[in-house]
Amino acid sequence: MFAGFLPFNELITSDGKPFETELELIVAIPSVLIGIVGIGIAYLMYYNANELPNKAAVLFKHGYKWAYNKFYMDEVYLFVTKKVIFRYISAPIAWFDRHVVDATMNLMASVTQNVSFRIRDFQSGQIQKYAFVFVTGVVGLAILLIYFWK
Amino acid sequence: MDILTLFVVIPVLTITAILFLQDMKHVRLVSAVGMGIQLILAAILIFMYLSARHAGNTEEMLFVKDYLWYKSLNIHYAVGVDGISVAMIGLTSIVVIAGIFASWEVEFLRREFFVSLILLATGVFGFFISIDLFTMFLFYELAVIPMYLLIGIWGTGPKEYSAMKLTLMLMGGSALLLVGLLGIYFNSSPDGGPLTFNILEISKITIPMSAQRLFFPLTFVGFGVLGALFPFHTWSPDGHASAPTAVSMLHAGVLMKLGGYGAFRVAIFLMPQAAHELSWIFIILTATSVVYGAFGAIVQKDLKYINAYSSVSHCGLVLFAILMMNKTAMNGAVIQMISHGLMTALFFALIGMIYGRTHTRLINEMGGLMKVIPFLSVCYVIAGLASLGLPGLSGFVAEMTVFFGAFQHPEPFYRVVTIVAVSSMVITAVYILRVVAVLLLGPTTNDHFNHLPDAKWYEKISVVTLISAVAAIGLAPLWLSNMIGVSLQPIVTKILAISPF
Repeated sequence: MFAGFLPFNELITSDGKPFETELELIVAIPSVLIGIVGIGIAYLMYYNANELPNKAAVLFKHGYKWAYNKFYMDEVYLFVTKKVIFRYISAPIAWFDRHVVDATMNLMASVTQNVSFRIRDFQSGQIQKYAFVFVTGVVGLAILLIYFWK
Repeated sequence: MDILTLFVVIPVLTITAILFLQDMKHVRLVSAVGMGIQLILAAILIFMYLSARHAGNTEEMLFVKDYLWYKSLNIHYAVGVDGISVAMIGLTSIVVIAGIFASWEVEFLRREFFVSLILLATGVFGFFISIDLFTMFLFYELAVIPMYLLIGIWGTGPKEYSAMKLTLMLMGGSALLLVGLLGIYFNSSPDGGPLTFNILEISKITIPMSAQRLFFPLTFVGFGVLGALFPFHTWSPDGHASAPTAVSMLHAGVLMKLGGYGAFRVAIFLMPQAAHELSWIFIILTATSVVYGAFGAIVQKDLKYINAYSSVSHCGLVLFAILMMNKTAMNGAVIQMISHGLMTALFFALIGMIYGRTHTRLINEMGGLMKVIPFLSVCYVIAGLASLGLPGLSGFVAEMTVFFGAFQHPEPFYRVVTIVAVSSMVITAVYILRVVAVLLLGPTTNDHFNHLPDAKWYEKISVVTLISAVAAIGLAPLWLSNMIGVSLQPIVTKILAISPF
């Protein structure tokens, strides 16, 4: 439907030139022929009510059963999505995201909060304490620079 | 006054008008008028830009203005746009106006809500027009701060936790980014001239490789945090789930795009050698984002969480495509930013509207909504189809361009990760169709749902605006693709000089 409106071969390009496509007759002709044969058989079987469909169902018993059940594609889809993807891929990923990735970020926040809580007493408001820490730091730096700095 | 500065001045004037309003009823009207003018201005800018290009103007940036505002560090208020930033401005204008209409029923602290929302938009517009790294960073911060208030005050659920988490993580990203930007600044003149923050001037020189190796990862990760780069994405699901509707729309639709745009405009453009050398590390992380986000969305029960994880996947695709460093993939990245911005804003708008009626966002508590609220339901289906990449809608054009460009890379590693990333399209289809089936089809699960009203006029304006844009890009993508492509040329030329593939 959009083939005419969406010039996709012109859009998907890295050099400004349309992407070259060509018609593969080896693929196209058999595909079209199979489609036409299918339409013809359907016409014969269903356009006017007749016994042909029932006879074909008996003759191709197993094939009919598979086709009738849509080749069990729904069952396959539900098995793959619900039993495999949901249970064994998505659920573990969601668990990992919540309990590992997210928990790591929360842990960093908790550690920061706890450390802040523990060191809050440094900010006591007592000028004597600040002076003591300041002088100690200056003496420490002086010792470092005089005796150890080469 | 130049047209680009108007994109900052109009929101500021709108905020000023709101602050002086006596009647609270007029707040949303003034907001809609102000942002409506902004939308018209964006349309005029697009027209002026295309006209200038059509007339043969081949300058890298158009409508450039430059005013010195901090001499000692050579910081300028420098603005200019190319096709990429024009496209992003267009996106922002559409999402903001849709967000205003989606917030029509906000009653609590209405004035403060709209002021914060428009302040956020001001930061985003300012970011997209800036070509001075420092000014760009200031606008980036301006966009992040109101987010904390908007989620913390007007949010739902564990809103204080979510707001704090989002803000701290984005601020952590900002810290990395600031170091990266200062690193670029101090290496912007290897020959000893004056240092500069101007992107165009820096792009003309080659930053020493030793500096690139240090500052590229900082800059890329700094922007990547906002772009929901794995494993720094965890602010996104909680933040989106707790945010009010319009804030989710703006955040996922526009603010997360700042990450992709910045990673592209600053990290890759200014440090292409390091980007080329280190891209494999970030490609692994972004491909993980793409698949991980999609798988993560499948098992979520809350509609907002589903969309938030979906955004991790789609925004991961933006960063993934940028790192492929060829024109097709980069073009796809920009279209994906716009496409995702529109459709995720649409999703969040619809989720907010559905939540406003059903008072639940849990999909297993809902069902059969198509019969009772057909307009909103059909819009939800359209948003879903756009998200899973149906031809005719923007998602198809964006994702196909990204994957096509990524697969053009000749090295097997890049092709293998592309195949891995492509698998996300199938996973997206699984969770989108599942949600549509559970939420909209079948019998209604609650008698209360049988009496739900469908969309009101302002809600229709919001969603129709977004759907129109999604369909317009899907049906006629070439004008956008060409506009972006022309602007990508100088960037790609610079990249090809160091990596000819």
